[in-house]
Amino acid sequence: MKIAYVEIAGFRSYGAASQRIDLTSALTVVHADNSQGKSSFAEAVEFLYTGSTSRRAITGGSPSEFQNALRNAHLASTDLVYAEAGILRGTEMQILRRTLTKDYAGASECESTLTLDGVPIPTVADAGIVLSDPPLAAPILLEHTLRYVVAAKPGDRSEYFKAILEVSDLDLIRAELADLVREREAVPRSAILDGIDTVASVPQFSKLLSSVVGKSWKRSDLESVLVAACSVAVPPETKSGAESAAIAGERVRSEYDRRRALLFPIDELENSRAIASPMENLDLEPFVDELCIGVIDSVSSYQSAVDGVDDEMARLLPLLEMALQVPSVRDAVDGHIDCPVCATPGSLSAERIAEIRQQVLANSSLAAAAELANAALRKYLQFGQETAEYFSSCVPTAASWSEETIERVEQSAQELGADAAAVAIIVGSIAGLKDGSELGLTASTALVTEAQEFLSRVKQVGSFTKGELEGLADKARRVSAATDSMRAARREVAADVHLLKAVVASQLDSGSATAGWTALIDLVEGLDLVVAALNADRANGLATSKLKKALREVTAAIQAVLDKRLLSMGEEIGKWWRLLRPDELTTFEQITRRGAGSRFLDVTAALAPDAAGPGVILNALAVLSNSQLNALGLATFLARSQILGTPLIVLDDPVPGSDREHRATFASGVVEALLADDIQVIVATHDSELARHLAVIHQHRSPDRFEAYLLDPREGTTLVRTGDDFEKYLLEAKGQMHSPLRENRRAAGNSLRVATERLAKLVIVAGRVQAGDSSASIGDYAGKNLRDLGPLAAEHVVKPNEPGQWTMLARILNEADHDGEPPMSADLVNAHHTLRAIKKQHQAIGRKMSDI
Amino acid sequence: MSALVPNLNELRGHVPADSPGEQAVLCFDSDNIADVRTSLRKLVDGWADLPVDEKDGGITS
Repeated sequence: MKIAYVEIAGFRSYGAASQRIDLTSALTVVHADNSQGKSSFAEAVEFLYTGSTSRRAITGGSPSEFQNALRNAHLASTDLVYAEAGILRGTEMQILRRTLTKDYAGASECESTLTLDGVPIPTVADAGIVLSDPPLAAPILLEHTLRYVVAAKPGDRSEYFKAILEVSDLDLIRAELADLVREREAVPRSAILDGIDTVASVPQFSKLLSSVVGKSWKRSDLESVLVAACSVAVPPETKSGAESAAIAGERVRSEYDRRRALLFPIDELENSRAIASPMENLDLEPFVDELCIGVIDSVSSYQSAVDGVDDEMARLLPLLEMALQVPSVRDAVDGHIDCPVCATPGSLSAERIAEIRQQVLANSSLAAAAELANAALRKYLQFGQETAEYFSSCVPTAASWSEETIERVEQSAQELGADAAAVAIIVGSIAGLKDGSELGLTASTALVTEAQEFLSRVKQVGSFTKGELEGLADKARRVSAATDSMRAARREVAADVHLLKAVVASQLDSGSATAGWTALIDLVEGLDLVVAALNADRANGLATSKLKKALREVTAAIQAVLDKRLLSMGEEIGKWWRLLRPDELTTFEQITRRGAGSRFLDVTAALAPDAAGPGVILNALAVLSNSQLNALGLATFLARSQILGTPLIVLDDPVPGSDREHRATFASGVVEALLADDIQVIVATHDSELARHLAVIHQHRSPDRFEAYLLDPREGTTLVRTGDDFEKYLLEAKGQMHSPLRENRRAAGNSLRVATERLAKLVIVAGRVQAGDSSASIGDYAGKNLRDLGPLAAEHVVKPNEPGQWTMLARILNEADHDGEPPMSADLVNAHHTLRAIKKQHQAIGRKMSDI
Repeated sequence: MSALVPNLNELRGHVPADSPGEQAVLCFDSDNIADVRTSLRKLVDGWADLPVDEKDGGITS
């Protein structure tokens, strides 16, 4: 595969008119002074390959700073921006073109379309071009990418090498396995296992339960262990053979409740039912507001509907609805039919049926209004019932303690390390809860009663006054306020009880000698779940261990693969290093994994005291000079191209200006090695000496040489083949033909005249060659002027107007050679365009119009 | 992920035969990462589902 040409339009410094360079040799040299479009050329090839610019990804700054970075700022909105290459496979040429459809905007990526022979393709891989991973995907060495390998952060550098070595996917394999290990380890431990640990931590049970977790169990085996633990806690009264877990657990629970209640009945200070009530967390105010508005609105609507219908009709409504469904009535068209209700013969006319239907319709809206009123009232009812239940549930058993019991509990609290006054306060608060509960219950009951009465009234098609509705709403609001107060008071008591519990908890456990008993009871009562949890834990533990083993084995395997590839790449980089720096004592040594892991890679250098001595190995980044780091960047890039099997590489200023002494080694050793490997090379450089070196050293390959000029930013960069006198003179003329100064226009005219003579010779020679005269040469027309050449060129015309064009050119341009008035700008511009057009039309029929 | 295939072959050469590592590597023989994850989870769940060894009360590994 060869790239036969590259064509660029509208990209960065390139203008709307496309610039094309034909690559006839394996080596192409593009020379330009700074800011003439040399790097834009290399970046255009990168854009063609990747659809982006690596400059945005790897140089500093934010992505938004690259707003509209790819499109030439001076283009008209209709001008195309594209990069194109002719790909030659054998004798078949395919055209690969990428067209920019949306430039970078803010943080957004640019967008483009890629076609191969006009057919859209997703990536250049479909055109047989292999890329590496981003950010340096394309085999294009740019100034900003030369030192990426040494300037990048350690993580990015490792990614770069791994992408080249195509081992990034190995990291993915490891990451997936490690993620799975983390995922399994992050699964919360079963609360059942925590319960077993709680029981096992109590000395009296530890012997039996300390090694239960971590094994798999049969139900009967585990039951025996738990029954044994229950027997340790509360021995059975009679030893009558094997006992079931249920019986043993119940025995322990009874004894637990008895002992603790005896010691300190703390559970009687709270009523757990209240916590589960929906009232406990309801946002009361908006809820009740909505409730009241709903009732007032729906019952008022209902009242309006009632006012609009006849009472008798409302009562008969269900009967009439059924009658209208009877087929003889439903389908009656004319005449009289028998009444299906009272069976009076011929009593219903069609008109009468229509009238009944109208009335039923009016009364149906009453039924709908009644249903809405019912629904709203039922919500009232429900609110009243739920609050009543809440008020009841807020009162703990301690509310009915006798004075003696209170005294005993206060004394117990003191013995368990708590303050007796704390118990007195709680008991006092509980009395308050009781009073509040009674008041709340009264209000809730009144609400329930009235809601029921309203519902019954709706059922009987009764009426309501506005005052009644507002009275009901007031009741609901009073219940709401009472609920709110009760809730606050209950929570206050609960907080006090919580504090008391914290003080007495451990003493209560030890005092009643029931530590671990509740956890044991839970285990016994959930025996089947415990067996399942233990077996699942054991199985999952083994599976996770096996997964970790797999991760260790895969990690070691990845490192082995990576080491092998790094060694191979290191040898490749070393090869290029030696070509770039053949006689240096400091040399590139190797790329190695940092430490025992494979996450970071280090680049090392060897510092030898003399040519024969062994080198001291140090990190290359720390010890290499600036110039050596550039060489390392270039060597790495070349090694990467070699490994990826890249058929074409573009090198933009591969040897920085400060490294002039290494031009020759690059031009000979490096470029020769690349060309020997059948790699097509394009070197773009501002260094005229390097361009000359390349031309001279590789003269036998007839390298293609171009110069890039940027004379007018609006017209963009022009690429001119070195030695192509026609284009050179045309460019010279272009700079002066618009000048108001006569001398400048005369100079432009002379340049155009020489260009015309050159073109005429090219046309004549190309025409002769095409006619079969292979001996035709430019030299055959040495010394001929435009007057002689015009008629000869006219013999090889492509278009019928061409003879006239040659005559016109001779007339305009011969004037420039005399002392009289030079041609006008308009004539010069016309001549310039005509020359371009003639060249293009001859190229279009396959004639070679280059004179080197 | 299609580039996995050549590397997987090479990777397999470096993990012990019939080992958990080899079984895990084989799960990556897919172009779709979602499929890979499913295969991996199935593999590990399969390890967890191995039968209980009645003799010693433990699960054979």
